[in-house]
Amino acid sequence: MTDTGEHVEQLRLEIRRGIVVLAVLSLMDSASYGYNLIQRLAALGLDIEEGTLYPLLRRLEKQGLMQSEWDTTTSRPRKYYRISDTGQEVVTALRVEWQETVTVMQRILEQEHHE
Amino acid sequence: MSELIDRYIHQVGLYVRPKERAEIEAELRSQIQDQLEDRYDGAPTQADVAAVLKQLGKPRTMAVSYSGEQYLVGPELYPFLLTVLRFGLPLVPSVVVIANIVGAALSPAGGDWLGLLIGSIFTAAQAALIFLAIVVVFFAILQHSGEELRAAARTEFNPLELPAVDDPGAVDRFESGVGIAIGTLVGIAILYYLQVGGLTLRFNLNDPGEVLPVPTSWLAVLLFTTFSSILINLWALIRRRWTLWTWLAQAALELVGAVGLYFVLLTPVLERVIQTVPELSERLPLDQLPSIITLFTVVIMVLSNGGRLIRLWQQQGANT
Repeated sequence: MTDTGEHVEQLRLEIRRGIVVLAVLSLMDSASYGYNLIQRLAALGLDIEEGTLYPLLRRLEKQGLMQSEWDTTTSRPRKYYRISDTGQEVVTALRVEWQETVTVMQRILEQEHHE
Repeated sequence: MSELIDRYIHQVGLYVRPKERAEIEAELRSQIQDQLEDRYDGAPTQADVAAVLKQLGKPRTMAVSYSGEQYLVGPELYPFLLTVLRFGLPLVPSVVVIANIVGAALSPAGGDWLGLLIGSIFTAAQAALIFLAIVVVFFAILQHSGEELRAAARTEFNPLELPAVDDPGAVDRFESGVGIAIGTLVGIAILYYLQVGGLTLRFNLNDPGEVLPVPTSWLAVLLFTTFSSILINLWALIRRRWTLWTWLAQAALELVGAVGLYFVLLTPVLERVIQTVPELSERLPLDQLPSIITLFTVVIMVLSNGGRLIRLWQQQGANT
């Protein structure tokens, strides 16, 4: 990979790191299990690796932003995650923050384009 | 097929925290099976399973992702660790080499200078490594137990709270860094003296040379005051200021240390000098010298520490 390519890839990963948390929290109104969430995110255009998402779900649960429950009524147990009350408050605040960031960034990028 | 999954999950489990292992393994197993069912409709081959596992990544990387970021010494404490090492690492080997050379020069046996040089280099390297290990262990303990200290290091900056130029609570980073480095060196020496049962200038556990017996109980007191003083200096360095109570504790430890030196260093050494050169004691009051030096040191300490103590007390009074 060229130097430019490496820089772009590194910065892209940094941008995505923040986005993934907001994306995941935003889709957790209803209970969802790990793989199902990956498919829903992919259908909306955001591909996340399993090795990234599964540990992330667990970390968000530890932080109190999610809660989980094992469903043992099916043929094999499956762990379902759902956003917690605290997580809901956080995601509401983050959505506002995100909208403002997008507006500001659009303004900055358009300005650069016109100059 | 499931045997391959078992092997993968077992490998992940080896690197996660034991108390979380069962839960993570169950969760991961369920997620792998979800993927297999979706992609291969419940009838995956060995190659299909391998493809899914490959996509999950190396077991160790997966386990690290579950653990999150972990530090031996975190970013809040790391600059202070560097400060202590920067002062200590050049100082410790130098002092050890000088002590070895002085010891050899004073030794009646005289000596093999090449052997002394090689021995000094070896001992200096050993002392530097021990110093490094002790300092790192100190900071690692702080990192993993001293939440209050870490919180102090994270405190929000408020320009209005910047200390006055002649603030009595100001911490001199150089003074504290050197204090911690010297304290660690002294602590190592005391541990060595406890091990060999007395004082010697030869730092070699297998061959400590001639050992001058000293009271072990006072060596233990000196060890306690030394390591307590290191901790108080670290506390002040990280909090970036001395308070009335930390300075009072530091001053008290120094006083106890001065008394300890009377029993551990001054008295035994001067008794040995009197035994070796008896005519010297006829001309000088050598038997009184330990008391005079200790008294003089205590007075100097009281005066120098007392002045700062009074200013800290006045500052605390003004703030309350």
